[in-house]
Amino acid sequence: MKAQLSYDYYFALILFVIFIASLFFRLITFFPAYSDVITTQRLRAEAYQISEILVNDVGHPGNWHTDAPLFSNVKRLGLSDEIQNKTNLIANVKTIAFDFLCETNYNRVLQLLDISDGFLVTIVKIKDPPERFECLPAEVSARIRTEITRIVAFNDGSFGNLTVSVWKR
Amino acid sequence: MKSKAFVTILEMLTTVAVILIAFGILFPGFSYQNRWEQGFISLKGRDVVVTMDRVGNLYTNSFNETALKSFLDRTVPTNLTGLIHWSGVDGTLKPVVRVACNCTNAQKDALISWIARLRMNGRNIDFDIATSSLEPIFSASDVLLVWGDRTFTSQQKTNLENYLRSGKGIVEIMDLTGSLDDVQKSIFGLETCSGLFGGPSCGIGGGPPDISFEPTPTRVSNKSYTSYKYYHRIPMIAFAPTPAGFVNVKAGVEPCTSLDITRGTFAVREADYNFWICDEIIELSVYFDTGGNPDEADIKVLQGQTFVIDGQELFLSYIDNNVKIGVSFVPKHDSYEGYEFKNFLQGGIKLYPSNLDKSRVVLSKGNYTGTENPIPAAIVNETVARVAWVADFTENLNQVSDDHKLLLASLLLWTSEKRYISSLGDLRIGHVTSYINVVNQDMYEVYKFDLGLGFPF
Repeated sequence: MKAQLSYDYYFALILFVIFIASLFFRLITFFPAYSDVITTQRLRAEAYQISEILVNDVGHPGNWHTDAPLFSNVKRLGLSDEIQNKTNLIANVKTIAFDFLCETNYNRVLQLLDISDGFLVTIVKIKDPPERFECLPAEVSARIRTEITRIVAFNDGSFGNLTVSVWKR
Repeated sequence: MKSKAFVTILEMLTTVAVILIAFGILFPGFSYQNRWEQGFISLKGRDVVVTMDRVGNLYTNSFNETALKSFLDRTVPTNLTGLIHWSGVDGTLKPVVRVACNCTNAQKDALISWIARLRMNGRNIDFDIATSSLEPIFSASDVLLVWGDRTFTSQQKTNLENYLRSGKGIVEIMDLTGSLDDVQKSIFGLETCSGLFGGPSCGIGGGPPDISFEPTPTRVSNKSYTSYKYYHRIPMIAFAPTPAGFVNVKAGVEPCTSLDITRGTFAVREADYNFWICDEIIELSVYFDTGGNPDEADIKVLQGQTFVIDGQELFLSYIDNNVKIGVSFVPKHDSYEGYEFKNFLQGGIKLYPSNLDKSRVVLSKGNYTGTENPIPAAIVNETVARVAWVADFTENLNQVSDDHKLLLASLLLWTSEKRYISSLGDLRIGHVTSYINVVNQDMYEVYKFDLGLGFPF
């Protein structure tokens, strides 16, 4: 009789196992999603910071676009018009220089913006027909990707969008 | 035994139920919440408003809902972002000023014909005029106009006070030659001259023949400053509806070489003057009759130029094709004493600001005899909101000059409620971006533009 186990014991044991299994299941399903959300948040912050630098910073030196074609003396990129120096006002010549640098030396752009996994910038002037600049790598492999679109004015009186995409492989 | 087993099963089921409930309470579903949507809306709002300013569209988009929607459709389209918008301006004149007119039908019709529309700083300001009693006052209005002498009851005084508390203003056109009631004293801040200074200090003989903007406001803090500014900066509109084909010009005046000429008339200082809009290919010009032969132009004026009629300096603010012109009155300067109205003050009107503050006097006809106290023809007051009294210049509705009409319009505009919001109902998430803008074409204006963006669902 002493070695026999009661139904109560089995019942309690089953409940305990169900409880632990349920808790474990919740945790293992939650953590990957949690991790992805955290990564997305970090990428959003990074995309926002890059967009801020491109939209509202003149770069260093302020006339870095004149250093073409090698841009060897450039320390930081920024598209803001260094003469008017106003927020959300982009210089056309810098957009063209940025586009040229992307096409000729994409890795240099990554280095100047201190980006590791790669990024994509699309600048669209809203007019008929739209004018489009793209700065993108030859190949993109992204597990998580996020983007932020800023509305900007150009110093020729037009306006448009600047979209920054960043990702994690 | 059967009974014992039944109890055990019941205990187990109860335990399971309790554990499941406790489990749900102690270990709710995990979720990670952030405020990305709020940040996204805030960033979009800021970008949109700043970009509108950078491309020079902010002023137009502030007052033109169609233009604003067009801009937003191209930058933050609802079908892509899910965002909807609303907007408003604060601190300046509304696109449509709603006037509650406590007046007769004839007065209302006259008012509509006088000031249906003005154009200021390149935008239209329309007056929407509705008849209103004082019990109750038409609440969907921005300003109340009380036209004609009357005595207010205590209920009407309460209604007027409530109306002012809601941010709206009152203008009264009255002669007020008798005793003053409580509304005139407490709301309009008026007192009889004899009540303040005694009868001997209130003589009105020997003064100048005309009414002028004296004392001229010398600083923004003067109570009469804004109404003075509105009068001198907002152009009066004069239409040129009649095709003329030809304009006679005085000897020495460059003739109009175009056949596309239209003629109109405007009245200042109770006299009519003809003008002709000459639509030449190179430019538009206006020929004015300044007195003498009414069918002969004495001067040619281009947009942005000053000219003189009957000793008064006028400014041609704009020429709107060959349809109408905008003329404003030049304020007092070193070599000019400022615009003067023909006298419209009845002899029995002897009023003064009850708090003795001269800066509340907008118009006056010299000073009370032997004193430096102006004889007011218009007095403003600011208590909880703005109110203005002006002596009745409308004895004959058909003989009211354009200078009088502009005076009434400027007082109505000054007193009117300035806050204008096109609001939406409750949103799931929303954010308002405010931006201070300045415009200075006809008149220097500083106003706040609000752009709201939000997700409805």
